Amino acid sequence: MSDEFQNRDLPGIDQSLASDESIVKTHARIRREPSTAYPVLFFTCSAVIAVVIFSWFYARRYLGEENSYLHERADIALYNEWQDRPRGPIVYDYYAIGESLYTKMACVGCHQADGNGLPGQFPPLVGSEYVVTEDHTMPTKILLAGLVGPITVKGNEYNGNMAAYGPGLKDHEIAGLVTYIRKNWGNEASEVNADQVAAVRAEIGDRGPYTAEEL
Amino acid sequence: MNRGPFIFLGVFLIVATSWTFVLFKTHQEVGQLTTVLDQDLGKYVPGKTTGAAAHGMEVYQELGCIACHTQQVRVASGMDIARGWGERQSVARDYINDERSLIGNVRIGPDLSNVGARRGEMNWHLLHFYNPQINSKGTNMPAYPFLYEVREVVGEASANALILPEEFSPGEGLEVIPKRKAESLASYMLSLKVDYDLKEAPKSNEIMAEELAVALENAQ
Amino acid sequence: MNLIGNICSSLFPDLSGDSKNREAVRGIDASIRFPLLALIKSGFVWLIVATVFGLIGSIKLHSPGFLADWSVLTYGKVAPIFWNTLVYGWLFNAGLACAVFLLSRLGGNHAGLGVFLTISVTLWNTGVMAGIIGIMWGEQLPFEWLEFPAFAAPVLFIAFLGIGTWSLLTFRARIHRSSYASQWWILASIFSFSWIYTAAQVMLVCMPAQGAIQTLVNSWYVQNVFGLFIAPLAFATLYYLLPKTLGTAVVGYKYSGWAFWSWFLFASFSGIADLANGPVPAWVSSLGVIATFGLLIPTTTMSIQFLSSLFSRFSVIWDSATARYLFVGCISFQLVMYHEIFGALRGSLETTQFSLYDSGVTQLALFGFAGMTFTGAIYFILPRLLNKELPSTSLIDLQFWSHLMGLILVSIGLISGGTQQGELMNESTAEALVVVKTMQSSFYLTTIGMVFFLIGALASGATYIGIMLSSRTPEESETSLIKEAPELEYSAS
Repeated sequence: MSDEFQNRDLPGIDQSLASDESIVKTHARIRREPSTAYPVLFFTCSAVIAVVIFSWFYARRYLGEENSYLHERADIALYNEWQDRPRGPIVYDYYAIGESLYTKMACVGCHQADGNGLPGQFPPLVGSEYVVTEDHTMPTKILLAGLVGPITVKGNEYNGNMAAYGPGLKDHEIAGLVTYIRKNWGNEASEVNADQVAAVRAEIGDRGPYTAEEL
Repeated sequence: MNRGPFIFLGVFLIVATSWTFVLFKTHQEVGQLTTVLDQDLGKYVPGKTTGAAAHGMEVYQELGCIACHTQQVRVASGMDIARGWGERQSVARDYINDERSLIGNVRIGPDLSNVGARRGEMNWHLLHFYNPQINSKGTNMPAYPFLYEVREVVGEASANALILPEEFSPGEGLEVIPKRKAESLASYMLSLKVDYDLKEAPKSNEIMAEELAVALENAQ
Repeated sequence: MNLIGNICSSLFPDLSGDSKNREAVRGIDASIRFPLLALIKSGFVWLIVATVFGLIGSIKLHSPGFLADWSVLTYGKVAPIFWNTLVYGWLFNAGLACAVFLLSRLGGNHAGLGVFLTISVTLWNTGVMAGIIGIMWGEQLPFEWLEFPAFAAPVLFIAFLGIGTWSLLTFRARIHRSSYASQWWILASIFSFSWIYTAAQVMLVCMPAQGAIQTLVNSWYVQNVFGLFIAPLAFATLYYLLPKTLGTAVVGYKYSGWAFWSWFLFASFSGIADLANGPVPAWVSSLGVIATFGLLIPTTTMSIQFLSSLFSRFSVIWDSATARYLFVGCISFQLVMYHEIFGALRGSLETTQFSLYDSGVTQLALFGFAGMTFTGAIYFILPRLLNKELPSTSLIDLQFWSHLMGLILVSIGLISGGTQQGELMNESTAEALVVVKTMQSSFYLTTIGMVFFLIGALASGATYIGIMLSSRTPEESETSLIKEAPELEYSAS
């Protein structure tokens, strides 16, 4: 063996020791005949048993987990208590709420990101008398119930249709939007909070869109 | 086994089952999340990355930072929280505003999900990208000098020129000005802060116990 | 001028002698000569490119100032270029070369549509080239093994469909009624890749899912490329070449069907184990761990099949250029699966998560298992395509030993280094800088390993150029150069 090792020179070409056809046919025959490869069978079956046992225990421990991120019972118990701890009343950051909703509710689609709207089509919010007014219920009412018909904003005429956002949004969300448009783009008007929106909602009840005259 | 259609069907079933249970089911569970109202901050979280930080996110992608940095914090294993890399577990909802996931899975450098809270100075990052050896000596993070312009000082030094230590300075009468990409990337680093809590995201036991105790006290 | 003459005589052999010798087989080889040579050439080119980028990346890990001034060579671009060239360049071309050869030979028929196949192959390599330029240009996507910018994906997909269609038609045109294990593995791998690539591109690029789901899709895709495409092609090659070079039937072949189905079933679920404790539900990772453990079944079956066959004819291994590669391939397969199965268990996973351990195991799998198997197959195929001997067996020796050396060094460097890194990162609060310092020796080891890989890759390239450009010796002009293969020895005992 060692002699062969030293004098061995790799052949420039590996001769095949089996023809393709005989490979296919012989192995097909092997599959049909009863097996004689007991070691393979034995170790495969052992592997199957090992896998089944492992999976059983592992799945029991980890697959039906109560919590995705914690595995120990004590940790999960503490976490549940922490989740349910008593919290004070929420102090809303109305401006931030409005900012995130302005894009999400597609206000930006009509009133544009700079709040100037589109001439002839959508009224601006910057410096708009309907937004920056002392009477904060005006923009609130428009948002809650919608607006149809002709309206003059900053000297220009618009005639459109704004949907009602009252049914789809909560009080703090309406308050957020109103606060945002009243304080952004250089507008300086007061904040509107959720209670005020709730009051306006209760006052106007269930109604159709406003017209400019009504406001 | 002798027929192509049989193999086709079998493999199709296997791949389809894998796709359904691994990808589709998870998508149904945590793939359609929306922002939630945070009780402490009173606004909807998580917020979007905007402005220069959004551009920085593109630069991050372009330069392949994900090859060495992750943006996820774990509670149940590792020492992420003990190291100060974060305060709570990163959950699926944290990433819903990311157009492309930058979560990463290799850490040759530290985790970056809270780097804005750890290193909140723009200048630190600008120096770091110019040559990481300046403030992290011995690191194997590469330098990014091509994000900067080295030019001659005309009159007085520019306002945004980097103030470099002696051994890293380009030389007499030269100054290093960060280009737009460097500034955006630094802004993006500063924006990486997980400063809001989520109900589904547990924190470390110590912090949770502390907050629980404080809450119970205040309730009385 | 002589060179051109040599190339022409290589590509268009005009053999004298007994034309009945291996008549049918020579016809089959002639029908796939051009696409196969294209695949092999592209494979070796990409292998050299991949090892160059791997070397650059490895150097940057311990000497970050290396080539740092160039924005196209920043580490964040070099690393993805290395992986993508390795996978989509070298492994796809080499693996598909084996697939094309195997399907044609086992089909027993002249393969048609050779031009169609060559075009598809060229398109595929164009797509890979476009992807790499895209990454250098700054358009990479942040997804492992899917960093190619969106414009490369349709090119690659259409090319792959072309290759897949050719494969399907060749399989259908076979003359034997029964089929052999290699054919099942190849067909299954081609079906699988089309589906997983489509799913990944749709969920990541066309209609992107939310952030955390993208990570999940990525992990699923990466493991499936290895488990459902690359590994099956390597298995197919082993199933065919072991009887061919050893002259003995595969031991325990009866259970190949079980191995095939159980491999596909478990491998398709296994990649997601790495996401433990991440921003996805915990059951996902647990399912992955169970599936990975399930891979123990096909691994056991196939390991015994391959290794028993090899050990029953052990002396042949060192006398054959091909068989020694297959042997190293099988041993690497064992090591890779050991690490995959036991590395996925929670205890070890939590230590090695996010470290370079994973990179080490993957490189062992891609360079060691798949790469070595495909290289051995190519050295078997090339002489038959051109009816010439391999130009220099010392080159083959050089390639084998440097590749093996590289494999050992890179594996040790990244696997043990990665484990060390993981322990420091995940089980202590050591600073990231301290961790990097401890890894320095591993990084150097990996660089040396990469140099060996590069030497090996260049040697393969030289072999290819050598066999194409060398002039035909008198023996090589005869049909008797390659002898008719005898019937396979098998006795039902």
